[in-house]
Amino acid sequence: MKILIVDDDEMLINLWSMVLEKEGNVVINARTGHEGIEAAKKELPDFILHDQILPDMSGNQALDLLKADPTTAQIPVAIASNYSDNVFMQEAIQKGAVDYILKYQIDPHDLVGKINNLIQGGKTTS
Amino acid sequence: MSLSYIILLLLSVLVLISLLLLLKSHSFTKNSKTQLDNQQKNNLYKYTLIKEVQESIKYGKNLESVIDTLINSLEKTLPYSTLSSIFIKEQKLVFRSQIKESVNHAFVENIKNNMLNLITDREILQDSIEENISGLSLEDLSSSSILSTFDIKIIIKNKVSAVINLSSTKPSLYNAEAMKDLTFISEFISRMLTNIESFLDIEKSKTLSMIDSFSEGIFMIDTNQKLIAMNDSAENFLNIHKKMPVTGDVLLALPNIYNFKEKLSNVIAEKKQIIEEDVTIDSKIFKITLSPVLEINNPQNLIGASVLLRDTTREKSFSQMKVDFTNIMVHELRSPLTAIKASSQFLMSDASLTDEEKQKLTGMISESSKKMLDEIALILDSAKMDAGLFTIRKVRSDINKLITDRVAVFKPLADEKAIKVDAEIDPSITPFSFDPIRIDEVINNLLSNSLKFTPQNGSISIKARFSDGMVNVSVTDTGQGVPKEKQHLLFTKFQQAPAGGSHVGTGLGLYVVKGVVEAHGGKVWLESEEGKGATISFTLPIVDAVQTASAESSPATPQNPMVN
Repeated sequence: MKILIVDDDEMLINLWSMVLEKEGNVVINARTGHEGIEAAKKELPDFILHDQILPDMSGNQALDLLKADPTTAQIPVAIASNYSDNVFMQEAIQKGAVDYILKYQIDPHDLVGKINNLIQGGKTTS
Repeated sequence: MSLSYIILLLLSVLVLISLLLLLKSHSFTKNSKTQLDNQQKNNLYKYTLIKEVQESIKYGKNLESVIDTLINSLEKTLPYSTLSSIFIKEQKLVFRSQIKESVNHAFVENIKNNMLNLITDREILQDSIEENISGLSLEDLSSSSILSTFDIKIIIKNKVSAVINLSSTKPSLYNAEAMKDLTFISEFISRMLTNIESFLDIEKSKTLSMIDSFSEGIFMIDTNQKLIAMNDSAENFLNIHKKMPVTGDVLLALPNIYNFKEKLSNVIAEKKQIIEEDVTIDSKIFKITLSPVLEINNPQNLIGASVLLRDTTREKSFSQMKVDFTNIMVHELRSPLTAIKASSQFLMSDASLTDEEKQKLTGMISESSKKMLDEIALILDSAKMDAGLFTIRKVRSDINKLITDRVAVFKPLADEKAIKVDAEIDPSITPFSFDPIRIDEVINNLLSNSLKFTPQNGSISIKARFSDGMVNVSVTDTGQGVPKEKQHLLFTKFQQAPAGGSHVGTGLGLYVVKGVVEAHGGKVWLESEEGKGATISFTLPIVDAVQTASAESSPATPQNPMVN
């Protein structure tokens, strides 16, 4: 599977890439919201893990752009953040995020299973 | 004819003449005495009436009570068919007429119209006239011709504000000569009321200018819910731009959901204060206090209610900024901790990791710990600065070397993003006294900041030069720049709120930079145009070498509020 991680935290990108690649996934990454959208259009990943707070836009703003574009609208997007703000969470789900993952809570081993479940869930419901 | 007879005759004539003269003189003194009596009586009447009028004056009801007193007096002293009055009461005209002798509608109507024409501001007021006709009922068959009529005008501040009229179906009742006293009295009353009104105007304008000077919005209503005063701030806050606003305008401008109309009634009825917080009007946040207004000398007597609008938008946004700041800080500490936790979890459980992967993971833990410690150091430094406990240790050091060394460490990081780094130093700067550890942190912070905001293939340059007894260091990048509206926040604690989705770090970096530079007696500033990069410069004064040699430790300058 091809997974896109959009995050400005390099450490986290490295770590999650390592975890996901170990399970046989292809991981691509982007450091800003705009780079993320470009990568999503070009690479058409199976799943996007998107940070909430980025230098150029919020994860929720990126969701709007991804969902508005027919080429990327069907890609499941999960917002991953250390912000446990209810407003952000609700807004993300409302804008079509499949999940809101709290970075500090998720165990790297669970990440793979979680992403698989979310992709499956997305397929069965759609 | 005998002589004695002639003498007797002459004598008797003399007696007669003197008797006549005496009689004449007697009658003369008697006449003048009656005249004097009359005048005294008149004066007494005038005096009594004026006294009554003076006593009848009450706050807010001057005109009406004066007219009542005058009418009372006229009723008893002069003949009339109708005794009418017209006057202004609370922006409305009131017409009253007492019918003593049978007259018809037209008679009263004529009098009313004549009197109305005398009132100065009738155009503004005429809309509705309150009428009160008492005494005999009007008979259509009765006489309609006004054969005698006399107007008494009350002129307040050069405006005819009231007219009293005596009219009769009988001719020649009120000639000017006979009415001289009445004219005198009306002129006296006019002067008196004018003085009172002018005095009240001055007092009112004093009070109004006083309340106008408040930045809080203030308005007051009386017990009948009539708006009696409102200051400029209140008009601005409520967006009321009318010459004479009324209570309805105010109630319309206040948000409906709070039901201020009922609240005002409650304040008046129960004489207790009501406070509403966080009321939003035109995207501003207000604290609104409704208070009963009691008479100073007689606190039992309620005059009305006052309403105070305090703009709390800034306070609210400041407390919001504090909340945002705490959020960002927690988030910034959480990020490296998240990496440490995840890396160690991965290391502990997965046996299939290669040595290279293990090394990468331990590297991450080490790097994240460092990042976190740096962040904590910034938090501690800023706390010290806030408390005025921040100190620097000045040592004679070479700033040129410090810059070149720092750039050497920084270059590989910039290379990764294909960003060009230039350093331009000034060989004329010889070693001088400053805190090399702190200034190195400042330079590192400025370079790292530029790196964050500069896109691939951009450039960063650092320059040091000497001018006017100061060393000037500037870092310029080709990044996105800082929007004008955010520039004033750049060196504050709360520079980055996540609202726009954009943020980097706790934002404490530049706050600490400012504190360090100012502790050296220098200045830090930004020059930036959005989209065209930014330059942050700071200065370090070169203090006399002898002095600096002894100044090993120098506390933050006390006159600087940032570090104090």
